[in-house]
Amino acid sequence: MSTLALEDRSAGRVNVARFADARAFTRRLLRTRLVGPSLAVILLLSIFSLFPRQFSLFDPVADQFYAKANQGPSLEHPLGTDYLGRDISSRIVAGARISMLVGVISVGIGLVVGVSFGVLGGYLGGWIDTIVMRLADVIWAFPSLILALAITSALGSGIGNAMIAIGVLNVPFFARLARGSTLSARELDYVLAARTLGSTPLRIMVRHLLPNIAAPVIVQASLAFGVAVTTEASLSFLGVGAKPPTPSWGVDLQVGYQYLSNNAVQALVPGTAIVICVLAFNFLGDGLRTALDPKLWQRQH
Amino acid sequence: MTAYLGRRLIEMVPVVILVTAVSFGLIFVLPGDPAMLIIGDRSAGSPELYESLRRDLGLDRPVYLQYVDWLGRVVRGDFGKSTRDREPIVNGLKVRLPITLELSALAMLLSLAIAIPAGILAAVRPNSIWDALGSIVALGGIAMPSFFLAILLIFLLAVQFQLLPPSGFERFTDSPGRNLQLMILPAVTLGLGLAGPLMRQVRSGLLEILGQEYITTARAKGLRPRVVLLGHALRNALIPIITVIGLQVGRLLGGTVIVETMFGIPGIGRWAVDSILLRDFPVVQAVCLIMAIGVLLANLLADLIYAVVDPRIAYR
Amino acid sequence: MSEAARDPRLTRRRFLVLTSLVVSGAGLLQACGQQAPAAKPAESKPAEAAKPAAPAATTAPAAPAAQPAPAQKPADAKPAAAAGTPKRGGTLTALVQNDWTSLDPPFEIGAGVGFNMLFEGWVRLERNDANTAWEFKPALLAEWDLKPDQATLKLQPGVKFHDGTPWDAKAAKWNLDRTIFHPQSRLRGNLAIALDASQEDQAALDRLKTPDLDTFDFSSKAIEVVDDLTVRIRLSRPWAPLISTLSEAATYPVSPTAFAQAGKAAFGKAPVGAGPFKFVEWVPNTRVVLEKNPDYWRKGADGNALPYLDRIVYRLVIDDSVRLLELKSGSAQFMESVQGKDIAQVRNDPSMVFIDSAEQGISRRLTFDGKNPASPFVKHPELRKAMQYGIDREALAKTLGFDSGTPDKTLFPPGHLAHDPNAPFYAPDIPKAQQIVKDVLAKDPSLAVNGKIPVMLTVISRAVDRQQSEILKQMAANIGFDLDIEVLERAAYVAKIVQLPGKPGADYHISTVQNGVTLLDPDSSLRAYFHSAGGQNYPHVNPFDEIIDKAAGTYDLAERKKLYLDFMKQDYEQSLMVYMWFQKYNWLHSAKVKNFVPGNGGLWNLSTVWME
Repeated sequence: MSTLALEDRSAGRVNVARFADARAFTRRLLRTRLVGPSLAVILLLSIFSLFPRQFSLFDPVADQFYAKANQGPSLEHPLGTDYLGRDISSRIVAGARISMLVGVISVGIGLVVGVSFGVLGGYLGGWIDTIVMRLADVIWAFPSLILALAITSALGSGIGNAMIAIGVLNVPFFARLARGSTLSARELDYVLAARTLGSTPLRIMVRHLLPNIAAPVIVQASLAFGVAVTTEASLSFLGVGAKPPTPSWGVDLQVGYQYLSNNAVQALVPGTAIVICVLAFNFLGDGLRTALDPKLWQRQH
Repeated sequence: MTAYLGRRLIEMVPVVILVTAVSFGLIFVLPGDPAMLIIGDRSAGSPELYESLRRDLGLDRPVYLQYVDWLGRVVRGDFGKSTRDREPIVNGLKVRLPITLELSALAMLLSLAIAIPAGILAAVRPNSIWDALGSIVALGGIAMPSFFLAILLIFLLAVQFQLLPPSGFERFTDSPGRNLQLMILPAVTLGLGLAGPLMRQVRSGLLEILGQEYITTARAKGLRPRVVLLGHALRNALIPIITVIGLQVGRLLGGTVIVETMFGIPGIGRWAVDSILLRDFPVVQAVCLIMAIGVLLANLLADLIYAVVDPRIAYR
Repeated sequence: MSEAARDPRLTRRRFLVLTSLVVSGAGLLQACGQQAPAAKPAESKPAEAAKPAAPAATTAPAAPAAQPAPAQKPADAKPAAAAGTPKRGGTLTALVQNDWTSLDPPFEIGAGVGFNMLFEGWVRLERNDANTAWEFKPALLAEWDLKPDQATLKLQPGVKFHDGTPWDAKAAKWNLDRTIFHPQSRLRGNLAIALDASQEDQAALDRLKTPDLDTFDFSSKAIEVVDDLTVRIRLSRPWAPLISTLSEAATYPVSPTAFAQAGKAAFGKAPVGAGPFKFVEWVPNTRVVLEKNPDYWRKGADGNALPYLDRIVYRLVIDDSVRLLELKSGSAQFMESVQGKDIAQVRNDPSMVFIDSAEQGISRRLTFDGKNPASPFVKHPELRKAMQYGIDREALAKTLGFDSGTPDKTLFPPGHLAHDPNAPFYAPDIPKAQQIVKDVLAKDPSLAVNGKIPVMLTVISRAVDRQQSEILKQMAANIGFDLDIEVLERAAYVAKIVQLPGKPGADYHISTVQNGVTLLDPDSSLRAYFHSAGGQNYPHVNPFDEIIDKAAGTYDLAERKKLYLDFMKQDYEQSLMVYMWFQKYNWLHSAKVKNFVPGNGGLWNLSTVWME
């Protein structure tokens, strides 16, 4: 074992996902603070992502009305207009899709790559384990924004490459999580039994080990979602985020903050959107952790 | 124990070397070179100028040789010279590293000052309005992109209410008072960004412990609730908190990048970003190395404390 | 849940502890705030401040500004009559937006911003006394005489560098040698062209193999010491831009003795010049501090030596918004480049003085790669005219520049030597643009994808360029182009777009650039952007070399103007650049700062400025 990270330790508790008792699970989940509102927010954002046009008053990119630029909220434009006269509410709806996409894909990359490596390393041990953990350590050791900046400078700016960069940043978290859980789980009786019975390593990993890590991975994924959204905004600030004319919240925030003294709404709206989105995923993650971790159940009644 | 420590340190070495290899590899993948940047923008250049600059900056030698050379020199403490201003990088490090360390330490203290009370409150009254409010405040820090938080703080505190100067830097040795005054806004910005995970850890750690049997026993014995809380629960919860602090170092260093840029603080984070954008590769390599070592050492420290204090952990 | 957690005493106590912490924290902040140094305006006198003579937009220069000046007597520094009595003392904090790489003029990337007060130039480019035109005034040069085969420079007597080294012909020659022949000198290309013995000297340089760049002990043959205060340059042809080049920051003379002692690297960190202020310190990434030079040769209105200020602190603040906030909060008193959107509010602010210039500024242009065979604009050059007709310059100027933006027409705005009201320019004409595109598509239907011509717009990762690209995408879509936007950060951008001599840039289709427009001789911008020997040749082709060299090679002003009009006509036909909009230079300072008069470019003359 190379690092006894806290995530390892919590994953070490064998967490056979408590999904079986769905009602109790839901009850525990919803009792945790602010999970209800968070789920509502996430649902809303998902709807916006799937049906942006239905919720947009104007085209978020093409409808530029220069004469109406930098105006505050009005009947025609409920959240005002930005510096090019575009309707802010429409851009927020369009931005929801971008943010959800960034979250899903970058977390997805981190999850798939990280969990694969982590389980492989944890189960097979030996030099595979060493290599996997060293690689994860290397990514881990680079301060996050600098690594993301280097990757996007190399690949070019744009949402796609930003997602790759953030995805790479996520890999060590998931790898460690998966590895820690695998290490504890592989000594369990039923896993040993499966081995004796001749199951292939792959089958063991998929059938027995993966379900164990589902719980902490889901929690981590939820939290990483939020981090991905703010990292995209920071990358936009440094100039290597989404390229024009992508209606991303991060870009809108970055441009809007320059116009803070003229029309503060332009910055406050995407900023608030980011905050609400990230908080929602954070509270959901906390709720999931509470609902799934037996040690924390005793506090709930 | 010492064997464990020794093994961990040895394990760090390949990681560090890989980090240097990756940062050297950036020379291949990043388009553009520093000589071009120096002359390409504002001058009527000439071919001789470009070639002369390239030779002067040592850009004409193959990268492999440069890498091996560099490794040899680094081991002896010589990080080479910046291509931008030809200064020995060690001098730059000596000046900038303490600045970032100061900023980081202040930020960490501030985030603890927010996270611990908020976490205690949330754990003691879980799922109440206090829990929700405290969580929003603490987590709001990571939910808000730091440059936005920075400009809001500058706008409110420096312009509207004129409580603090907007940006700038004064060396501690020149004027400690002014140095601290100028550090307040940046430290708050950075610290708020860290408070979230810490608060969450305090909360869940305390929740876990408060539910355990020995706490119930202590209460049954008639100890006052405050003693129970501070004496037993918090002390035990502190251990994972320390671990989390150690793990936050990577995020902390990443956060200094934006904060130092916004507030004009000449620290390591800003130096790293500027160097990447200006293709000042020797600096990039040096800073990546230093930062990586810092993060790894912090992790190691956190793990050590954890392993020492909690004998239930089996380490192989 | 246990009783302990529900215990009200516990909660209340905790709450009280928290509250007291917050209160005491706030009190601490307040205390700190009150000790903030009094950079804030204390009691400001009612705004009886004399407005400095703002350079108004003139229609035509009254006197030819770039003519070789007849032998002039050195003028005494004259006080601005309406400004009031100068007060001595004080520290001015000025904000700079780009970091310094070196404080040694020929090797510094920037345009002299933030350190020019350390030095005295050969000449100064300023408004003339009647404020009707720009002219070159004597500084370290007292007189000059330009002939077709030589330039005779007479030096200002009685001037010393900060370290006591006298300003004489030997020092002058050494400085010229360094500026013209050092391989890393920024203006090398500009001056070396015209020197007679440049062939000899270049050969000598080559023979040196690896000239010691640190000390650069090289003495040219083209530059001769005639007597103690006279230097002669042998020219291979008449060179009209000579004096203009000598007004640029890159040519500021430095003390040869100090340079020899320190070596290039160390000297760049602590230079010695002959200017009104001396070097105190340079904290990299942070600030440059200067203090007044008590032995400065120019005199103020009260008969004593200039400058009036005791110290100048140039602080680096990169972020545009934060710069303005600094001025508003009073922790700085001077800055340039107020963003267009903030101009309205600073104009109305009685505690600040806002000045702008219609003759100087940043011209934002769209450039075409003239060489890339894959570009639709090379396959069918008439498409360039479609873009010229199709771009709404007014909308760009107003939306992005607010009060400081005006539509751009040609290379030289009014007030410039080469400005000509007869120069042709493109006026927006959308139907014509659309027709051109339709005609081309009729000829070559394979060009279109989904009915529009795909084009790649490459921009640098800078806020204005990104915003511009969003507007341009819509405008181009309107006339039949589908713009795909590529954002590159600076290093990648320079590698792709900028064509350095001997180092061809990569291929692109179109890009947006920003070029500074100042009052220097027209040759300086033409040579940089349109000449094969220039450093910023964006179109990657050079059809204009001959006309540019010809116009620089005569002292006859009428002839030059004719040639520049010819150039503008050719430029109109070739259409390799679209002049989109012009953003005026501006300066902003506290009302307590008096007698600031803008000079050329970013060279703020703070030697005649005082603070109340």
